[in-house]
Formats: sequence, structure tokens, C-alpha cells
Amino acid sequence: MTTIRRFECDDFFKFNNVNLDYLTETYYLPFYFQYLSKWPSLLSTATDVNGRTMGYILGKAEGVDENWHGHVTALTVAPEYRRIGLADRLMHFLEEVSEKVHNGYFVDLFVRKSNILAIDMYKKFGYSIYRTVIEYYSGEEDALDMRKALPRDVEKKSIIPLKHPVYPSDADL
Amino acid sequence: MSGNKYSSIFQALDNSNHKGALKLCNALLKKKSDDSLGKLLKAICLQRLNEVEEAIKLADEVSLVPQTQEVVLNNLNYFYKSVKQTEKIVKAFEVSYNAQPKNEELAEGLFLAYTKVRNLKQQQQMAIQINKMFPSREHSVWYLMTILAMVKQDPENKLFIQLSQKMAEKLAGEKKFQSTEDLYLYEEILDVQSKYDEHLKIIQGDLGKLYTVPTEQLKIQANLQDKLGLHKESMESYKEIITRFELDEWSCYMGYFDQVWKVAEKESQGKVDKEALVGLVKSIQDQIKTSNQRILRGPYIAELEIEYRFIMQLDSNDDKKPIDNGRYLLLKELIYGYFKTFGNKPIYYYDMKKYLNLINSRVPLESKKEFLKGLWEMVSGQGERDRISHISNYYKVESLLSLHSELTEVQVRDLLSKFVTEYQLAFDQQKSTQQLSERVPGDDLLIIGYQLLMDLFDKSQETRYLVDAVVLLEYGFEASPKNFQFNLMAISLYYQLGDHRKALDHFRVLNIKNIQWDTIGYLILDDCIRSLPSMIEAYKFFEKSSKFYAENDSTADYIAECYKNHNYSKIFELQKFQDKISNSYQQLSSVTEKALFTFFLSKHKSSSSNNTSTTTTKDQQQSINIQQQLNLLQVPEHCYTVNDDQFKKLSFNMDLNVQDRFESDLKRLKYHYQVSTSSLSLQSNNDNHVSCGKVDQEFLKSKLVLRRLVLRLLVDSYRIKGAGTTVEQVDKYMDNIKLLSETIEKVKNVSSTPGLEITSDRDFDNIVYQQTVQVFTIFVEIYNQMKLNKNHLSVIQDLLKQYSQSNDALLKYIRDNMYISGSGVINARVFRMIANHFEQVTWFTELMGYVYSWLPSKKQKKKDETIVALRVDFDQCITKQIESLQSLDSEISKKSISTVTDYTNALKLTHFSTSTENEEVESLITKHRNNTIQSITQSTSIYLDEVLLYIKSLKSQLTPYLQ
Repeated sequence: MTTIRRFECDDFFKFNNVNLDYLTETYYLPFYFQYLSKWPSLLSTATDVNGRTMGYILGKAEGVDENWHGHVTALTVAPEYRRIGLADRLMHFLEEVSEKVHNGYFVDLFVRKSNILAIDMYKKFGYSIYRTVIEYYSGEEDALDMRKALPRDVEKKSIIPLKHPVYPSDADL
Repeated sequence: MSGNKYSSIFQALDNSNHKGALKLCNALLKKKSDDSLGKLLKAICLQRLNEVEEAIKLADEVSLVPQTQEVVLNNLNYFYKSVKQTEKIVKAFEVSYNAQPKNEELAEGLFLAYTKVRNLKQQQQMAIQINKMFPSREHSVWYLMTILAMVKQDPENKLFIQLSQKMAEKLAGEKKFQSTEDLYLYEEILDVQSKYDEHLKIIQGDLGKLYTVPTEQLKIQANLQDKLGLHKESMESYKEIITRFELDEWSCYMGYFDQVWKVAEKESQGKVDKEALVGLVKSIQDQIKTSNQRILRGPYIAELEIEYRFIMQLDSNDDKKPIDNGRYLLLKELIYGYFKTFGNKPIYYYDMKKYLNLINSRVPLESKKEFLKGLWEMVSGQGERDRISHISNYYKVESLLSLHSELTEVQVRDLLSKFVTEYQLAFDQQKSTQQLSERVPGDDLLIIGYQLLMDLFDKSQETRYLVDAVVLLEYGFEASPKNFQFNLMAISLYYQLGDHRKALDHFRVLNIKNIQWDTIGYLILDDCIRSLPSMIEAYKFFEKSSKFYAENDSTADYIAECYKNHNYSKIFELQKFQDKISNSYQQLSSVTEKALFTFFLSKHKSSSSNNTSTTTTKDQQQSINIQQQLNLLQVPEHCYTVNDDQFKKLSFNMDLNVQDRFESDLKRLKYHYQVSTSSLSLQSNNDNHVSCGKVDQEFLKSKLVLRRLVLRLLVDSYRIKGAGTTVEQVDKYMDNIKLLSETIEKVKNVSSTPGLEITSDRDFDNIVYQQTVQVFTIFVEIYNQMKLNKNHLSVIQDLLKQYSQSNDALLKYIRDNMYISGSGVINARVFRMIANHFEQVTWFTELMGYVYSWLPSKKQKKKDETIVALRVDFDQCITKQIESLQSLDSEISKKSISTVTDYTNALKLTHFSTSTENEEVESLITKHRNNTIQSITQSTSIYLDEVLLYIKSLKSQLTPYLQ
């Protein structure tokens, strides 16, 4: 039983069963608030019937001209709610808002090169590898920049893979 | 002035080179003494160097000069925020704007400054002004938002409501609403007035087109239709969502069913066409099947929900009445069916909880057993991949159906043996494919095992069950190191077992940060500050949590950001959040506890900084900080004020549901952490103040008041000790003692018997409370006697005697309970007793020091008889205190180092499981048990050494009073 709705400030008080998972970061307040005050429609949370948080997604809209797009900043699902297609639904939600509210050309996200599980999952959702960003994670691990074109990008130009990896400084982040 | 100079100052500040930055500022100001940015940066440097007063003076100078540069105003904002004087930034904007009323940026800045301090009146004035001077669509919407805020603050004010309505209509007419965020204002204004029909019209009209995601609009529409009694229409809206757009959206299934029942009530005397309903749900199931997408849960649970609603409809008034057999069988089949599809996923339990709860309360035991038998038949066989997940879910269901509550120890051990065997088997089998980031299937079985052991402990209070429970958790933690549930549960268990080091280890794994200090800080703080060897650690935790509370100071900036970004829907939400944090019980409580704790620590500074081999330079620095705060007069007033208004607004933000529980909701949450950080009571396993995910707010509030009064009395004692004490001060002090007694009555364990015969932990707590009152009363009565010449000698003599007697009683109780049934093994419960007792003795010691300074020395020639008598009693009381500390010292020094064997014998630890079939598992468990016991004995030994140091410190403070 899943209900998806916009992320609300009250959710901060009860997202621990999600955030205690070691791969999920608990940011400091200004970070969250920057998102909430700028892109409230791109933050969604999923709850079960008891109101328990199952997972959430934080995103933003950014870029100029044909680079205008939705970006997934964080996507996380509590361990006990995994493998039921929740990430798929949350991503779908963000894609829909990126398309219909923000009128973007594509949606993109960054993922650790070693996180095969996640990369495969995003591929299943229709994302493809656009480029590698060298040492993006604390100067240690490479990131894969994965993208999915939205209807506005009719020719799907945004997802043509780059031939060479880029450094974070050149990545136009 | 060149920008370069500034950037090097900023850089120095960024690098925390405050002294360097200050030097650069001074150099800059030498050339240009009235440079605003330079002055301001200097203020920031000074503030960071702790010269706050001078810093504020400097910033105030800047704020009184009209500014145009954004960078100056931004830094003023930053500065005043950090010294918590945000109202001054408003003044700065006022000064600047008044000097340049045609500057739009400044006008906007001033408007936003008002939004931050929530000065609605000024905000409204400014909105009018801006709209006059710089008319724009955005500014009109700002004005509307301002009016809406005024309406929300004062919903009875017709004038504001009319104004907002008129304004919204005007903007709508002029097509000034351009996004759903703008439209939100109009919708809110209509909702506040319950004008749902109008709201519906708008949503369905042209303005509704602003909603570009169809379901967003449909959900609002359905909700409004429901409110307007248009149930058929609402039903259709929900139906459209679940059949066309979101086939799995549970809130809309529920919305749809609600409407179906409402329509039936209106049109067909409550008769619902079940076939049609089930037909619709099945058609959605088919729709998903044919579209080849992943199977969705919603339409399957919907079938159960329909059955559930029919059952509830039949006998909604009787929640005990057995379910009609025919309906029960249908429900059962559906739950079985759901198990076939989703029984291999943890979600099964959460999805079925509601329906299982119904069975739990309304199905007889025999049927429950039969139900479980049927469920067990669906569990995959030995060697199959899903088996372990199925078993996990099976036992979760068994637990939820209350079949675990009456188990005997033998039965529990049989189950444990089964759990561990299955777990290990599955673990070995799936080791090669197990992802490190994922939980091990079957982890929940171990958690159920933990629950079973804790139930046994609850009934018997036998420590061996705690040991077994912690062993089970350690075993799970080794196999599944990323399952934080094991850590959560281990923390409080280890504290109960006296192993502070292990408790901290598990806490560190959680890596809690930022807001988590507010919501789950309770997991550790209380236990940690009551644990003598973890005190430096506790101090760090306090620092971390106070850093989070300072973060909340910027929340107001983001409220202004919402205005800037025209995202109005988040403004009220952020304000509510800001209030919830600033009125957080955890925050209010931790500032008080930190102050009390710092006082305690500073009194024993020498003991705690010399002892541990782990003392690092950083720890030493920490002790220096603590030393600086020794002066009670420096304790900020907000740490001990008891402000009724504020206490009414207290917000209890603890997340009590973070720990998994696979039990019936009816069962009270017995084994839990000490929720408050204002304890002054023993960790009690029958603490009824937390249950079913809720805290007893009144109780916690009283405890906080109690702790604040103690702190206040400590501070006031220090003041009274100094010169120039007025009679009013003393009267106030006595009033506060009275208040303290009254508050204690509210938190006291009433079941306790009065007198000095301590027979339980509850009695112990109550005597500690009583002594707390005595300490302050003794102090003030001696003051009355010595300084105000009141003849209170007999009162004082009685009090001193009572204090000594209760002291003896407490120490006796500690000594009697020190070891587990005559063995050499320490009973960890006494650690908390000792901590509570020592805290109170520390206050006593401090206050007697003040008293001692008033008493004339023994050698004084002219002797007043009263004084002599007082002196004798005082000496006696101190002597007895020292003696009792000495006796505790000898009792502890007698201790023999316990070994694993001692421990095993003392606790009568038996085999983990009754079956000896699985030797491999048994030996794994034995390994964990030996490790655990070894760790407990080592930690206990460290703990006792620490206790001895505290005794030494107390004695060395008391002894000089006898000379």
C-alpha cells in the first residue's frame, strides 16, 4: 500500500527508518530547505498505510536552453520496502513533473560507477550512460551521468553519449 | 578599497583563521576607518573569537548607516543570526531603505526581512508600499500572500478575509495567477472560508489548467467533491485516477471506497454492490497483467480492503465481536493469496498489518492457530530460495496474532533454535549473491527472537535474557552489518548490561547527524550522561545537537526564499517546522541537562581527565572548555527558566517508530529507551511513559520543570552565597523549593512506600528526589540562621539528620544490590543508581562548601552556643557522608575480577537453544556469548575504576569542610 505525495517538512521528523541506512545521507537543514523553497514539486515521498515513510526523492530543475532538465539529487528507499518497484514510481513522478511542470528536455542523475545494482535499475527505467565524470565522489570514485530524454527533446539529442570522460570542473554541473 | 583585500579576509574566515582575518580587517580599517564591509567583517572575526560584545557594538555601527551593497546587508544578516539578534537586521534594512526609498532592491529586502521575523503588520505596510512604488505581478502576489498570512493568524477577522477574497478575485480577473504556487493562495483563501463550491469551480475552470499533472488536479477535485457531498462525482474522480493514471495509488483506492460507501448510504440504504467493486479491482489487475508491467500491490490489497469494509460495516460498534465465519474465510483466503505473491518480501507484513490486527482482536485463538497452520503450508520447502523470507513473514504474523506472549522459556528456546538454524542455513546458501548494501533475508527472524527474549525478561527481570538478546543481535550484526535495527536495539541493552563501550560502538555505527539529534538523540543522550565513564562522549553529543539547533536559525531565510521563488505553498510549512524545532522538548531539555551535566563534570574534572588511557588532546581541550563554564553565574537564563507560554508550545519530535516491532498494536511498548534526557530516575523496564509510539507529554514536561528548578536553585545558591543578597531573593528561593517539591509529586512513583526502608528501585528514586529538596532546604535554612539571624536551629538539625539517614539508606541499597546473587559479578543496575546519587551528592557538596564559608572556625574564641551546635551537626553530617562514600569505596575495591565462567555461573546462563542438533550454530552463538561477556566484564571494570575516582573526588571536596 503506497501513497506518493509531495515531501513536507513534517517528514523530516520521521524519515529515520530510511535515513539510517548507511548509503543515505542526512543533510543539514539549509540543504533541504534550498530544495523545498525552490523546487517543491520535485520532492516526493512515499508512505505506507500506517504513515510510515517508505522512501523519497529529491530533485531540482536546472540548466540553460537545451540543457534545461530535471535532476535527481537523492533517491532512497528504506530497506524493508525494496524490490517492490518503489524507486520506479518515485522516478516516474519526478519525470512527469520535469516534463509537465518544468518543461525540461531530459532528466539526469549521477551514480557511483561501482553501484552496479543502481545502474542496472536505472537502465531498466530507460536511462542510458551519457558520460563518466572522473573522481566525482570526494575525488575518489567516478560517477556515471545517466540520462533519459523527455518528449520535448524530440531528436533525443540530450542522451547521445560523450566519447570521452570529463573532469568535474568541465562537467558544467 | 580593492575587492582583493576583502576576498583575502573572506578566505581567511573560510579557513577559520580568525586571528589572521582580524589582522587583515584592522589593516584595512586603518586606511579607511568607516568602511562598512571592513567593520562588519571585523565584527564577524571578533564574534568567532568569542568577543561577542565588542562584535555586536561594531555591527550595530554598520547597521545604523544606510547601506546599498548587498554583500554588506547579507553579512549583517549572517552576523545577527549568529548572535541571535535577528530583529536588528530589520532595523538595518529600514535605515537603508528610508535613505533610498526609490531603490527597489532595498524595498524588497526590507519586505523579506519582515517575513523572516514574521512582523505581519509591517510586512503588509511594506507590501502596499512596494506595490505603489514598483507595481508588478509578483509584488501583487506578495501582497496577497501577506494578507493570507494575516487571515491564518487571525481567522476570525472578517476584514482580512474579505480583503483577501477581493484581492484574489481581482488577480484572477487580471490573469495574474501563473502557476499552481500562485493559485495555491486563491485555493487557501477559499478553503479557509469553506467555500468549496467556488474552489471546485476554479479547479475545473481555466485556472485549473495551471495544473499540468492531471492527477494533482484530480486529487484536489475529488477531495472538494467529497466535502460538498458530491459523492458520486468524487467517486468518479478517484476512479479516473486509479484506472487511468496511478493504478497503485493507495490513497485514491481508499478515497474511492469511502465515496462508494457514502453513495450507498445516500442512495441504497448502505447496500454496496460488492460484485461491481470486486469487478473493478479485478479489471485493474487484468489491465496490469496485459500491459506486462511489474505486478502492483494496490489492486490486490484493494480486494482485502473491500472485505474488511464489509466486515466493519456489519458490526462497527463492537470491536470484540467475532467476525462472521463466511466473511472470515474470504478474508483468510485473500491473505493467503497475497502471501503467494508477496510472501517473500518484507512488505507483506506492513501491507497485511491492518487486516491481521482485525483477525487478532476478533478471531478466537483456535481459529488463529488454524489460520497459521494454513499459512505455514505455503512456506517454501527446505533449500528453496524464498523459504527464509517466507518463514520471517510467517513468524511476524504469529507474533502479531499474539501467539508469542505466553510462551515459556523452553518454548522460546525451541523457537530461537529454529530461527537461528534456518537463518544460518539461508545465510550460507545465499552468501555468494548477498549484496553488502542489502539486509540479509531472515534478519527479522532474529528481531522476533529478540522480542521473545525481552518478553521473558519483562516477566522475570533476569539478566540472562538480556545477555541472550544481545548475543542474538551481535550474531545478526555480524551476518548483516548494514541492518541498523540490530544497532538500535543493542544500544539500550548494553547500557542495561553495564557495557557502555559496546553501547557507544553501536551508536557510532548509526552515524546520526543534524536533525536526527532532535528526533532520535533520545536513543543515547540520557543513558550516556548517566554513565560515568562516557561523560566526555556525552559532552560531544551535546555539542553536536546544539549545532543542529543553531541550524534552525536559518530556517527564516528560506521562508523569505519561498517569497523570492514564488513558492508559496511551503511558507506555512516552514514556519511550523521552525517552531517545532525551537520549541522542541529535546532542545529545551538538552540545554538544561548540558548545564547540569557541565556543572557535575567540572566538579569532578580532575578525576575524569586523569584516569582514562584514551584521553586525547582533543578530550583535554574539551575539559578545558568545561572548566571555563564552571561559573554558575554564566549559565544562560534560558537553560533554567520555566516559561508557561513556552512550555505550552513544547513540541515532542522524537521518532519513536524507528525501531521495528513485529507485534500487535495492543501490546504496550515495554522495553524501550529512556526517552527523556531529564531522567533523575533509574532506567526502569516498567516505565509506562512510552507506549504505542507515544510519550506521556505531561510527565516529561514535569520532569523538565523539575530539572530546570534544580538548575535554577543551584544558580541562585551561588548568587545567595555572594554579597548583597536581598530578602526577596531568599523568599523567591524558598518559593522555588516549594515548587520543586510540588513538581516532584507529579513525577514521583506513587506506588512507593514512604520511609527509609528502600525495597525497590522506585523507592530509591523517590528518596533521591526527597534528598534533592533537602539539599536546597538545608542550604537556605542555614542562610536564614547565619545571615538573617532567624532561629531555625532545630529545623536544620532535623534536616541534616534526615539527610544523613536517607543517604545511608541509599548507599545501603546500592551495596545490597551491587552483585548478582552473592557472586562477584556486578549488577549493572547499580551504575545508574550511583550516577543519580552522585549527582545529588555533588550538589550537596557544592552547597555545603558555601555554608562552610559562613561558619566561624572552631578556634574562634567567642562562641555562640547555637553556632557551636550547628557546627557539630554540620560536621557530623559531612563525616557521615564521607564515611558512607568510604564504605562504598571498600565494597567496590573488594571486587574480584569476574571471568566468563563467573558470569556464566552467576547468571545461570544455559545453552542458547534446547536442541543440540546444530552444533555449528551453537558454537557460533557460544563464540558471541563469550565475546559479549568478556566485553561486559572489561567495561564493568573500567566503570568501577571510574566510580572510585568519583568517590575520591567527592571525598577530597568534602574533607576540608571538617577542618
